[in-house]
Amino acid sequence: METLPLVLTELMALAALAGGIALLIARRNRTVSEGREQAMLETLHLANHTLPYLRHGLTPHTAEQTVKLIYDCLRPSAVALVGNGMILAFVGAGSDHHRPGAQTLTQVTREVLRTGRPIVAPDVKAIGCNHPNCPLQSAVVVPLRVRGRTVGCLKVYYDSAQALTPTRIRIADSLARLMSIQMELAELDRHTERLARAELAALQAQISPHFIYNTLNTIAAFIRTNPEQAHELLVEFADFTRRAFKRRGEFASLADELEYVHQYLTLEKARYGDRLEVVYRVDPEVLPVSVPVLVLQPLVENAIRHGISRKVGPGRVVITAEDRGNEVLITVSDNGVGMTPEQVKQVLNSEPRQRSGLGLANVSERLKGIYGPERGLEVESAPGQGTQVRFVIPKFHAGVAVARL
Amino acid sequence: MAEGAERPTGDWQPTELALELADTAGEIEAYLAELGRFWAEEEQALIQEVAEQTTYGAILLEDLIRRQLRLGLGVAALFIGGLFSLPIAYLFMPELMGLRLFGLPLGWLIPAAIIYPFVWALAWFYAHRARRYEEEFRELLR
Amino acid sequence: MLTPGGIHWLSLLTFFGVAVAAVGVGLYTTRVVRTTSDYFVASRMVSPVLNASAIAGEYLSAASFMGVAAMVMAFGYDVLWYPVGYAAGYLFLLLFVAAPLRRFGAYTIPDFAEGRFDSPTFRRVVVIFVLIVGIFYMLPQMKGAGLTFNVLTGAPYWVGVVVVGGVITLNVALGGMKGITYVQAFQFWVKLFALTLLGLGVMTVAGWYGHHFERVSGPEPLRFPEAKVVAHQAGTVLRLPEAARVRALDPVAVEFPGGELRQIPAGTAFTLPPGQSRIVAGGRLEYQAGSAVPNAPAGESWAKPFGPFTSGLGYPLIFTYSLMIATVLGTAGLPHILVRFYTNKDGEAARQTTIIVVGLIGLFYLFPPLIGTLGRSLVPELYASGETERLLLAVPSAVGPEWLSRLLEAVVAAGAFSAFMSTTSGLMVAVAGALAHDIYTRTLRPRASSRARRLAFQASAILAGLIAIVAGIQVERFAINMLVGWAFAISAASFFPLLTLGIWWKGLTLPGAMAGTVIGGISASVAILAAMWLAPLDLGASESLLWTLLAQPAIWAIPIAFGTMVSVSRLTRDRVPLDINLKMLRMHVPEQLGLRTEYIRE
Repeated sequence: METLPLVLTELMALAALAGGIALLIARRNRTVSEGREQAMLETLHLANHTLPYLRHGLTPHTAEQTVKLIYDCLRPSAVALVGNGMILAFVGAGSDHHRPGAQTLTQVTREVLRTGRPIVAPDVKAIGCNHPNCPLQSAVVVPLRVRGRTVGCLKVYYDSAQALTPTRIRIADSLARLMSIQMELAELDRHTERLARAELAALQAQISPHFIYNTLNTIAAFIRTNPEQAHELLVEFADFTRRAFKRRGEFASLADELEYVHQYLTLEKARYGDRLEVVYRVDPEVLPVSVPVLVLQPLVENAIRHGISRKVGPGRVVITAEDRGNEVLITVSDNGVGMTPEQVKQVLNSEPRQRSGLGLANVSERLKGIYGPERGLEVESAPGQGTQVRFVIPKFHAGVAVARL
Repeated sequence: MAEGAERPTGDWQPTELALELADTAGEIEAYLAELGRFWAEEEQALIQEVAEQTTYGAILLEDLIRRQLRLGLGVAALFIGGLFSLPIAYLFMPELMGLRLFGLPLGWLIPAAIIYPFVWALAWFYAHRARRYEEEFRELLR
Repeated sequence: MLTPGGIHWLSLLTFFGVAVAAVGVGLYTTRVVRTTSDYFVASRMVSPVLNASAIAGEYLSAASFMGVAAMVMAFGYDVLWYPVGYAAGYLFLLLFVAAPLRRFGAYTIPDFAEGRFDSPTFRRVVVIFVLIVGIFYMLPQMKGAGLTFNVLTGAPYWVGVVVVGGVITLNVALGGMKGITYVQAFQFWVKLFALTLLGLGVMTVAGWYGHHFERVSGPEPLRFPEAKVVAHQAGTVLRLPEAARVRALDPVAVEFPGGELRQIPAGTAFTLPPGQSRIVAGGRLEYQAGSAVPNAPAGESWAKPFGPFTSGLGYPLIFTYSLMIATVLGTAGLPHILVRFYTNKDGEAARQTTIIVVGLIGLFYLFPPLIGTLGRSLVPELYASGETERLLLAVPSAVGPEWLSRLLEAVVAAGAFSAFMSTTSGLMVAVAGALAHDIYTRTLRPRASSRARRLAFQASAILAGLIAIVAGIQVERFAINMLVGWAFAISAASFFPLLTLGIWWKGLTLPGAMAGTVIGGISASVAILAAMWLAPLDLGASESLLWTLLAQPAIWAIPIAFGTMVSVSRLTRDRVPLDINLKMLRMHVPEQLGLRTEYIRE
């Protein structure tokens, strides 16, 4: 064995080892700019951490948490938060006589609340504290404004005039702005909630009115005969609608769609009782696949409404999801009344109804629109022989979002 | 829009904006449209943020990617370095390679048995660290 | 033939029995376990442990099951890099590919290629390499099948290839993916059980690993512990380090070192001198207890690195390291492996699954070196007849009571079929999928109905099977692990750079990726084909840097692929995809963030 190549290889191996260890335990050097960035990060951290409190409004409790955070971060002499008529919280030097709950506000504070503009108090007299031994010598008072209204102010105190540097003044100002933004977001939250409730109303046009009507009637019927069942159904129904309007994107995992279908079926089964049997045959390997939302449930609803409800006797719906390698085959079959070939054609080619996206034609169009013209629904049916609706979608398709479970 | 009454305690609560629930088809459509706009804007904003590469989230993401890549390379280098050293160790440390354990020489035992738990330990270490980086990422974004 | 001639009925039964059992498992899981009116059962995802068992099952092929042990017996220490590389391959998969690829949502590598670069063209290019790697990897399975069937029934090699290949092809074409996770997991445990039973069973009867190892790795030449009969074919070369005392049971003609040719009548005892003799007219020779074993590598070089396997072509260092690189980096690109990751719920589950796979595989690979050592010690006659590849089926015959022998052989036969079936099915599904989905459906006939698609898949499976069978018949002379090593080298050169750079480097452009994949894949493929067909038949005969580099191309093909990708991407900097940040987001943003990453491309 020649030694030179051996030695070279050994050196390479040792270099790799050393490199690996170095990569794994290296800590970045603390340079000056690192320090500054670190400080910036901490400040941003502070801003982020005050957020959760202020989203609940400015109360003595949230104010107390907030001033503590600010105090720990900025390390001034004292910090205070003032609401619309009194001090909400105070921490730091001079807390013996600057008490939360006190209704008397200093001249400075009242000025800030009135004008909505920040004021710097460079000496004791400007601060307006009458206590003889108050250690607080300078302060900056900044307003908290929500959509044009001043709802409070932030006061940062220092123990000398020199300690109140321009930078510190600007920090306090920026902090107050951030807090104001947070409070505006809290209002937006409420706004969004309301909009969401409006969306529910809108969604009623998307969920078939029949379904809502029937379900609520069923629940009403149960209230007298079986209140527990009624309660469960109500909860289920609420969950169902919550899910329905939580769905904002265009794609979900098959698992999610199945969950939606399951909730829908729970409600339908309450109505049909023993007349409805549902069988699932799902390959777990395809549960993570991204499918367009609201494609499965309409098929199931269709199977029940047109197939089973018109049939005499018990009905059976079979939902399958088959792993086909690169693709997934999804079928919904029922042993209901079936359709004639003309009816099949009509169902697939009819004008998609305007607002409701639930017709088979609509689902088929959506599938074709996303995956291509050959991927629409295939329907097999014969009168008295039940119906099978199926479609095949690829597991991966460019442009289809990956659903996060 | 009704404003919440301001209580004398000085508390501030976010106000409720009252919206009438629509009951005609036309108003439903209007709300749907508004909703669509609202979410489209949010989506746009997110895409904008990421594309600009200058925001907090994007910078953090790049940092996360870099850290995980460094971690992967480090573990890989560790493994390769160890593996490549093995044949050569025979020439530089023959006595060590000949050390008998369970009747088998160490030099044989390493690739035939011991290396497997070692590889597994490296895998576990990587996953553990990678998860920690991801948690830190999540924390900073919350 | 070494083992008693005729048909080994019990083993044949278990051989095909395990196939029936596997199909049964598939049918059972789809009919009974998965058909349910209980939604909560239906919606349960595949757990990481189950998925890991399935991946390990699909991954451990004939090479791992029988090839490694056989090569350890034949060549010793150097072969250990193969299983280490196979296991480490999963480590590399974990480090660079598992989680991000799962988050990306790509099912196959062509999916990733298309999605990452928005290029259906590139997709087609990658599909070609998927087909190359897939077919190449099926060849060693066919080899193993032919070999095993030959041992169990005495039928010629090609019959085994046709029979086993046909059975598997039919199963894939008719059943496809039925319950595939459970089937593969089942087959993993069958293989593990077979190997552990064999190893532990033989040790119980014949003594501890360490004792055998010590006996066969010393400076003394390897000698027969007891008298053994070996049937020699005409043309066999016998290399002896010292004289061997033999008795001819059939009339034979032997050419001694020095050229002297002697006709030896049946029943005569004679001595084979040290050096190289050749059997001119074949027949059975009985080697006396204590005689040297012909063609056995010397103990000390067998037990140490840079032994006969890598030194054959004169550049053991390069051979060794190139081999290591190929096996470690090639795993990530195997077409049937990556698709299993899609089954996971998310990136974190993908990581967990990979770790479990590393554990399962590591456990499995404890046994082949053991069995190789036992083989060297207990059935050294395999060296004499040049049939070390049959090791796994020969070892059972070397242990005590006949019932145990038969039982072990039957168990090994079952494990062997599991090995062929699991990997070949997985590969065939991947190859057929690529043919049906990518070539037929997307390129030729996009308007196919779902029935037509199914037919296309079945036809593709049959086509893939036919190619595998025909090619499999041609590769009888190559060692199983060599063939596998080649499949890995092509995979490593074409796919590993694509995956790693595509996932971790924003700057990779379409031209860069395409150039690198093509150059890496083609250079590795050409080199290997050249080595297969043009290299000197007896690879130990000549020293050559060229042949070394051709036989183990990973060490130069992979850097070339990387280099090409990087330099071409740099040159085409303007062609970085516009939404590259979104793509990075998609791959790297951790789960449970609540960050909506949905987007729709117009």
